[in-house]
Amino acid sequence: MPPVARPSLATEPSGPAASEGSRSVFTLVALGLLPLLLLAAVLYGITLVGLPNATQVPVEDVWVERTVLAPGEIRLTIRNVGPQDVSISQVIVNDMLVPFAIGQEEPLGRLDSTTLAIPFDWVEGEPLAIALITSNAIKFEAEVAAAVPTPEVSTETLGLLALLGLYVGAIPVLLGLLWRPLLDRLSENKLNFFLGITVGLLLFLAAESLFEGFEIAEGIPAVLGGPFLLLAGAAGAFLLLEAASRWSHGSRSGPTPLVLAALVALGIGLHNFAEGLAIGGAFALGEVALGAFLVVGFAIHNTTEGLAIVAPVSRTRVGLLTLLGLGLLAGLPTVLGAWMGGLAPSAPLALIFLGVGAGAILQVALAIDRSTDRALRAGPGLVGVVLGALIMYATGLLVSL
Amino acid sequence: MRVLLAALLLPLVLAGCSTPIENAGPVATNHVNIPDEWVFEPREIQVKVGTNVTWTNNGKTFHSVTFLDPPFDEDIERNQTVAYTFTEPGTFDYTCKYHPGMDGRVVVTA
Amino acid sequence: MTVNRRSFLKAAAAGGAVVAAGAIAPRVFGSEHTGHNGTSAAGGAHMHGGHPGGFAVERQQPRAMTPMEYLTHFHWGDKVTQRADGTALREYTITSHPQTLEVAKGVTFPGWVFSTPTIGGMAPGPTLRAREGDTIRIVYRNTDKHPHSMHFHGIHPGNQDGVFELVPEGGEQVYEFTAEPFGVHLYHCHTLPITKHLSKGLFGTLIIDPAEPREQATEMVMMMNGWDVDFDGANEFYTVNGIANYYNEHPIRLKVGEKVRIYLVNVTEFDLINSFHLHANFFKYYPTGTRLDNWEFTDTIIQGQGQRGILEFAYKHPGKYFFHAHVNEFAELGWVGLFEVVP
Repeated sequence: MPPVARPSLATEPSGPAASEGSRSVFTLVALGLLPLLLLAAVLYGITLVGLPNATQVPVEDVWVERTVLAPGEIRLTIRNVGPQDVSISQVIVNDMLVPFAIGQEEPLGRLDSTTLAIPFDWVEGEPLAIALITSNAIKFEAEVAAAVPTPEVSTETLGLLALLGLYVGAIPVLLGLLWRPLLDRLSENKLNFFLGITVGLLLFLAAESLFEGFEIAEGIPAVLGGPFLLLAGAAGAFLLLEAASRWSHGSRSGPTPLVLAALVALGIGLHNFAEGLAIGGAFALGEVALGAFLVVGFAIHNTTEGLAIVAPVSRTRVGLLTLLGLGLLAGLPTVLGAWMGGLAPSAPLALIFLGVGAGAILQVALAIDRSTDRALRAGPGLVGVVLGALIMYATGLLVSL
Repeated sequence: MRVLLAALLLPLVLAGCSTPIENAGPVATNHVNIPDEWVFEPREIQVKVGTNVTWTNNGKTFHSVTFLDPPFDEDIERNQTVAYTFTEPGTFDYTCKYHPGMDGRVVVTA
Repeated sequence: MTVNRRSFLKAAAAGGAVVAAGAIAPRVFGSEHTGHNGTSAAGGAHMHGGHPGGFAVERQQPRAMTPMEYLTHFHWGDKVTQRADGTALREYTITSHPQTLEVAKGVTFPGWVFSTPTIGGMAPGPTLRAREGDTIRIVYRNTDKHPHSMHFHGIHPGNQDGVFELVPEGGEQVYEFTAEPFGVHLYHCHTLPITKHLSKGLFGTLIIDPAEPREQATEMVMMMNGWDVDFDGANEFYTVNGIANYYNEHPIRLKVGEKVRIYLVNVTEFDLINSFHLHANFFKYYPTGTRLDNWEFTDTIIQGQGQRGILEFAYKHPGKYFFHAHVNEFAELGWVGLFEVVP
């Protein structure tokens, strides 16, 4: 069958080739829009015909995102995470109906949030059971295990949280850097062992981030897509760092030791940011017994992270300042995390950081593995990997928050 | 080819033109039926001023036709019919006072 | 076979346009709300009912009373026939049906209620009243999908008890018995589970006056109940006469020295006892109101489920006085009211 002559659909006046017309902008846009237009028409048709009229059971979901306690007052930030608009009509605190001021009179739209201010003379250290009753008489509860004033932004609080972050994160990591002289004097075999420890440690950290992330994700409404945030962050970070790493070393066989160490520091830094979030959050809830026991446990747990940073650059010339910089890159985010976790916590943000941290750590673990040319798959290297994970597990037991 | 295209598009055209069950505008009739379910069928009707509107209860239980405006509130037993003549134009909502959610509307045009 | 791209696009565009054109017509689309804030009780008659994909119609309940109106309303019968011996045949037409109730300000609850042709659409149900010796004849009809019944506290034959005969949707049952003994009693649905049927609003007061009427006084009915809005077997709200905190926000006005008689009934499910405490005053308490010569002089009494009594008092001094359950948890969850006594 002879081909049908195709008239040109090109909008440009010039251009002689008829085949070019089939890729004109107009055609492409039209072809792209066509299914969408038809879909819109079908959906409109559905709204006209109507769906079967099932019995109307109200479906509401309210999430108490944040509870802030000030003397004599409870302030709740709530978010509508259900499909319908919702109105809070009554509030009950510890089995008592209480007056309250709400941020808006109109019903709360989907995914909107507002603040409830409840004057209530709560007693320090005692639990609070809060129930919100919607206009459809559906109850949503929030609990405070032990009421303490929520830290507000002040030099004192910032200083306290910074101190927490330093003790727990920054200082131990910097101390871990001091293993460098040891590593410099080791033979290749023994070095592989320590690199193995590094990788095992990193794998453990990545797993820990993901598990903690899933736990957080379960505690927030499904509509926020918690697990997705976590995994998307991890996948995104992994792929991004892979690409960046390849770009940085170009035609060479792999990243330089310094780049590797920097990636380790970055990954650990992200993980420590999330750790800082957890610590700051616990502090805000009054749950942290700032005992020496806790600090000691965290210190040991995090000191080995310093080892992970210096292992890749052993026997390579690195300036002292550079090393310091790497240590701070890994350790200081704990302070930032503590600030955010204590003063402006956000579960979705925490999930993103945990995910990104896990992805970055996995990428760098892979990079180290590649750089040692399979030395970690057997012998002292493998032993090191297993030992590294075990050490993190054991020290982690000391600091269960 | 054009025939094929037309055949593909026809259902869409019909969907657009068909009279939907639930959300159409008022139905031009002066008779409302109550079936076994607690609904008025059709839910929204349109009549001219002076029309005598009737409601017939073909359901399992008694209902009521309760308007606030105009003041018309009648119980309607099983197999009974009640009627009302609308003398003013306007939109008049009514309910069954025994069954929440069982409501209807009469649109009276001049 | 090739498709001429231009003709395909033209046909598709035309088809889409026809669909759109055929579909555009004046249509009414409702909001997605299936529940609205109930209006405050002072409005009384109207509540919003939503309907997906349609218009929202004002819930027209022309018979509904506010708790303030309910407080002093007594229903002596829809049809009363006086008899030669001085007693009366009192006929009441009672219908049970579903009803959206406002149980606390802004909170609606799917309830079941008893109504008469002139009053109803609320919980508690109408206060039925008769004189000792009258014949009470209840024409009871149920228009709810669930079977219900009417069980009276009183002295009557077993087949007038409203227990073994359940009335289905669209069904009818006639109860007839002599009004005895005098006192304050109650009626409620006796379909199992009673906890469900009673707690959803199917209850009311029955008052039988003694042959010699009681002393003149300002008479009120108060029914104490709880609302289990999330159906977990525990009450979230406690009320007197149906709406939490109502008389706290709408105080009851009294005069100094005004004699008050309260017919008080406890229909609270899920809690063992309820109580009544009056501030700055004491009352005579007649348990069940069945004896005229036996009272307790106190300011706090308890009632188990189904117990009731008559309180009589007068205020000596002007001022604002709380009355509430002395089970303070109930008071804090809505069972509290105010008497405002003026000189």
